[in-house]
Amino acid sequence: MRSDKKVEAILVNIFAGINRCDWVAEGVVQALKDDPINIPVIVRLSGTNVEEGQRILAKSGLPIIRAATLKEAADRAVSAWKADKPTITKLKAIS
Amino acid sequence: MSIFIDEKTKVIVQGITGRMAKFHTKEMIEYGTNVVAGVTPGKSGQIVEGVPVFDTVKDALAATGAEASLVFVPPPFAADSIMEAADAGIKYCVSITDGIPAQDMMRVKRYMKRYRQENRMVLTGPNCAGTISPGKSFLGIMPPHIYKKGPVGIVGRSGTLGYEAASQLASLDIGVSTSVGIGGDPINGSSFRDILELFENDPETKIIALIGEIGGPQEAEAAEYIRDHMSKPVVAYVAGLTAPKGRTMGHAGAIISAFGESASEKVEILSAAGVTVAEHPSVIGETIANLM
Repeated sequence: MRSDKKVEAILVNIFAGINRCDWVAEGVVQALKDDPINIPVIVRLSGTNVEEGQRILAKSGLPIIRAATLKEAADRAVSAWKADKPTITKLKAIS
Repeated sequence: MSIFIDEKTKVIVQGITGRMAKFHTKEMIEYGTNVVAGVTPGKSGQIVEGVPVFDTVKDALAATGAEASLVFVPPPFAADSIMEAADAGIKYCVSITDGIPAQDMMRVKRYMKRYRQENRMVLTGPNCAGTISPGKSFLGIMPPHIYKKGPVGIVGRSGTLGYEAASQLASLDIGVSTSVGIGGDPINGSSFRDILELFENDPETKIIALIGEIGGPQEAEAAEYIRDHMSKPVVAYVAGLTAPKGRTMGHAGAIISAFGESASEKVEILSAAGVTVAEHPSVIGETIANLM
């Protein structure tokens, strides 16, 4: 997804059943630490092991935008993308 | 009443010695599900989460009198496990397994025909989240704490959207009688229509949420049944409004390959049958609340 230059924000939405929020959170944190990214990342977690997942995201110190519901996640993704847009354009211009 | 399962239903877990099965067996027991046995060939005598393991479903039934089974068996062997459950006398089976070959499921469907309808095991899934009667029991992989007990029957092809509906309802202080996942595979055990009939006859269920998606004829079949036979209100959400034709979207069965299989056509068909359609996945709860 990040290799696609047209992607200007990433929304991760997981309502975990057989999946688990802590695994998902660890994956997001690892991906962002291994290779930092300049676009907004919004993560909505709900379901199995949600408390642990939220704790991992909060503790990571990464600028991850968290949301509790699907609606909130969509709203935050759109507003973060709008706010972030000029920065991205500038970065693109520099490179 | 609820449909399929309650706190008394004796449950076995097929494939109980696997990692995922162990985790979810523990969750089920903690919730109150009456798990009486597990089955893994060659592992009889073991105890998993306090539950005795047997080699065959027949042995497990002889020892415990179980009525329902949850199948966690890997795809190459899952169809055999489902048929074994039917043969041993299980009444209700949920198959979680994702990736059972369609040819194998055809074999299962044909195999079931050898039993008279009244003796035939009911299968929901495969590739589903399972079934929960909140406050009583659940067979599956859903996060049970998001469900409140109440009057809404949920039936859906997507596990996650079922969770979404249940948690939206809970935040509006509305509960669920039973939630049934019929799974995302092109060939499955029970259809929307089968489950709608059970909800129509269940006194505890007052209103139904149907969560469909692109691909297959089951939503159209459901619409016909709702129009002709149902007295209870039905709310629907159909996923995949932006899905292109001819591409599978997540579920093996979620592919638009014929007329009437796109989300917009399904919305049209369901609306014409008197179903209230929720336009976004985030307003399923609200739409149901407005009809109550």
